[in-house]
Amino acid sequence: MGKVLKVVKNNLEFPIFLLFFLLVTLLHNAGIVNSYIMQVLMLACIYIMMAESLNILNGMTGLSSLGQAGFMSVGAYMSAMITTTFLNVSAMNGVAQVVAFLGATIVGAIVTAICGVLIGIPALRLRGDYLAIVTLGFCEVIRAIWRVIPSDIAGAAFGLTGIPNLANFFWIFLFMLLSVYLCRNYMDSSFGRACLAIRDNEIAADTMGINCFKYKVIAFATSAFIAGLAGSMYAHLMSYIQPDVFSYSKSTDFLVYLYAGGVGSISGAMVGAFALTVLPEVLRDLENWRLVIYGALLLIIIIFRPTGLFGGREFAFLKMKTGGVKVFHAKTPILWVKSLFNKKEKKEAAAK
Amino acid sequence: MENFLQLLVYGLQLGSVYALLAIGYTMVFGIIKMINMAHCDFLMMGCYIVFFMVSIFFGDQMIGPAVALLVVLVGSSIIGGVGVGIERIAYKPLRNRPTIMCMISAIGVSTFTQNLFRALPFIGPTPRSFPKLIQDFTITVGPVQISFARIVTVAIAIVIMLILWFVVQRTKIGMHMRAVSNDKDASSLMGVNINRVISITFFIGAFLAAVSGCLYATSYTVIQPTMATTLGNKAFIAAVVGGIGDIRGAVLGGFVIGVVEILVTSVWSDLAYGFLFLVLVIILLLKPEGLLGKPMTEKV
Amino acid sequence: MSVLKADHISVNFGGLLAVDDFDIEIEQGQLWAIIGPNGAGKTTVFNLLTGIYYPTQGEIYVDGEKMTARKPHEFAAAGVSRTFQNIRLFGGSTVLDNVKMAHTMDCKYGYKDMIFRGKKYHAEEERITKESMELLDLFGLAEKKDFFATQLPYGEQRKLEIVRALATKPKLLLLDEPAAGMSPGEIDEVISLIKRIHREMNQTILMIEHHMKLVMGVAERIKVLEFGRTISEGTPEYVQNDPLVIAAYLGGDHDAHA
Repeated sequence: MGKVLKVVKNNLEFPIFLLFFLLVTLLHNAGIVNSYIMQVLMLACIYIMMAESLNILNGMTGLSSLGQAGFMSVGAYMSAMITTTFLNVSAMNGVAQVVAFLGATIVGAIVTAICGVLIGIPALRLRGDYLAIVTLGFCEVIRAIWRVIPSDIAGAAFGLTGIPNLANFFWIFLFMLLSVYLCRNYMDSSFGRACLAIRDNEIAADTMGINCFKYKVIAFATSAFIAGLAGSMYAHLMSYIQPDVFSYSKSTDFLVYLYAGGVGSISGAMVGAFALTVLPEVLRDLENWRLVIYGALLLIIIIFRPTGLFGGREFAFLKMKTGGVKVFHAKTPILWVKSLFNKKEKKEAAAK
Repeated sequence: MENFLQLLVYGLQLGSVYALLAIGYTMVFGIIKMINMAHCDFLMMGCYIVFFMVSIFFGDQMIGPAVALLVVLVGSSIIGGVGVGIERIAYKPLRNRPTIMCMISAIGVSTFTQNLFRALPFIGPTPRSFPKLIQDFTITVGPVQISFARIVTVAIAIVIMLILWFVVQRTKIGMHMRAVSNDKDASSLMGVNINRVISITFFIGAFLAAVSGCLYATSYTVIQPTMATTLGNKAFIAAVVGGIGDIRGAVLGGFVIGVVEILVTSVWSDLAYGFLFLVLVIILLLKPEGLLGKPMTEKV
Repeated sequence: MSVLKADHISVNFGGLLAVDDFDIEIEQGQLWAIIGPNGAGKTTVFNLLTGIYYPTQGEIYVDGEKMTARKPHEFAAAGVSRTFQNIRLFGGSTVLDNVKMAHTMDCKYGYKDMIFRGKKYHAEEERITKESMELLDLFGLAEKKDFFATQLPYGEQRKLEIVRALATKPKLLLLDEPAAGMSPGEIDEVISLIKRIHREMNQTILMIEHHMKLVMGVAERIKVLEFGRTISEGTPEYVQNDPLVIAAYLGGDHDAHA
């Protein structure tokens, strides 16, 4: 009896997830939570997946990627082409639709992971900023490819329409949790530790017997896989995808979510993606000014909270053993204002 | 062939805009190793400030070339000052952090400025047409027709680049810049005032971006707050293709990208943007340091 | 069979002969030291022996296996582990994680076990944590296991680097200036630490050191480098009295010996 209680107590988060899901569904059915809020909530879940996927590269392995939207588009297009162009899922009955949707999602994610490896292998010859630039390049090249694929297959520049709206809150929430737990399991293993070692000091990692190239490629594949899942969810939520949705500014959005939440921390990525997806919607009444405030808040977070909104911590329910982020010294607002006018330098000059 | 020559002229004109913009990317990268995603906004701000200066002081009347040049230079200097201010506010506090954080900060600056310009009632999101700064006419050289404005654009760009080349290679501040881009800490120990050098770099970068904006807008006259993003991306590609951190590389890259873009657009306009990125990827994979850059190694 | 054999290796950096005809054969259980003035090529030798640089000439054998032109992680897998002159810890990770990271190559579960967290995963993780803690305990770092590596004082950072290198269970441990930047008191501690690793764990060691007291106190055999060339080799007593070595360190007539 005591043992059962202990198991329940240690895994209390799962009933809470279930309760949360039931509560949201109930409120939605009762008409208290409208479809618009549901849409924002589901988008937030998809962007959490994207931030997690980016965290594997930027946060854990220290590889700057600016091409995450490209991976997302591969997952979105592959799964949408399967359900829409090849299978015509809309004509199927309920169960077959769900099976086809899940199958397409998995296939889409696997294709994305393969793309991740194919892009990762040549790109990994580069370091730091150059890697970021080349991933950005790949992202835009992928987008150009979607634009030239004939319109009867993938919609060309006008986009793919009529994708069955199969991704409901249940699936999106479930896949979000699965992605988060995949990231957790990844980080809390020899794979994650190898990646963290590469991030912190690649040469030392190499001499400690870590095959840097292998673990980087694995990180690329895992990250792309999650991005592929998110892409499929996105396509089947919006019912319409278009190449320009997945431009590099989308990639930078994900980067912003991750860094605002706290790079290197799984919970930070969740908090950042959720907060920054919901924030513009909350500020909606301010119309044109909302993105001005968004930009200003982002600057404030980056300047004064180097470890992000969540401070590099982790939610207790993830039960993380590994982890940790580099801590940076941030100026206090007063010192920051002083530094604007080079006060310190002037004082030193006066002392001379 | 005539067609090709005609396109080449268009390409060179666009290339001169990219080159001026790419110099800013490359100088900032050379000095503080950051990709300034907000750099293209200086171009947009430059267009707007000249637009307002002309409409307030001169109204609809045509201004002479000397006055026009003066307006552009004054406007661009103001933008240069804005650049210095933005560096102090948003990038200086991040100097000891990974460069990617500076990039995020730049994204924040870019979001802020573009949307501020959209939100401010006297600017707004609607496109405006840039005033004609010079009396334009067409010159015919053999089979090629060249508009006078395009020649002036390329000429001004080249003159500015030569001046910059002189500043960087022959003056004391240029020497300081080269020292800082080589080794920040060592040059600081040698008595170089790092903050001053960075401020001047940002001033020059923002100034050139504003000038390039005016040059761009004299031929493509529509200006709006979001106009600069694609231009900025292409200039950035130019900087990387030429070898980021190297001013000559930025100039070369700018002209190459300008010509390539015009030529590809004439064949298949849908593909041009993606094709430039393909060029970027291929160059990076084959010669990561760019056409003119030097390879880097890490010491163990 | 020797643990490590370097067969007349040389390396050229754009015309500069950084290491010239370096020859060494280390037997199981020995404690070697390489000394020499600054810029003599000592660290370059280490980089050659761990695969960071490739020799332009000569061959390297680890445990009889030819390792020339292999990558650093392959050297580590073959049993060569090292520390660095300028400390290279995993600064964003905790002390315990630093040691666990060195267990990456002997971790036996695969990608699938990682995702689904089966029995194998839990057993392996438990083993790695236990072994890492034992090692930390042995060197008195156990209480600081949750500190970030960069939060440790300098001396303990050097110690942690040695612990991390030992965690890969190397056949040969390379120590690059283990006493660099330390006070005389701390150097005594390093001497006893190295002696302990050598005697109690029967660890074969090759180290670079500037500090004469340390080298003469612990090393069994010494090689002296100057300008990339080996100028003397032998027991501490022999090397100390070799006129060529004295000339190299104090300056003077280079042809004294020859």
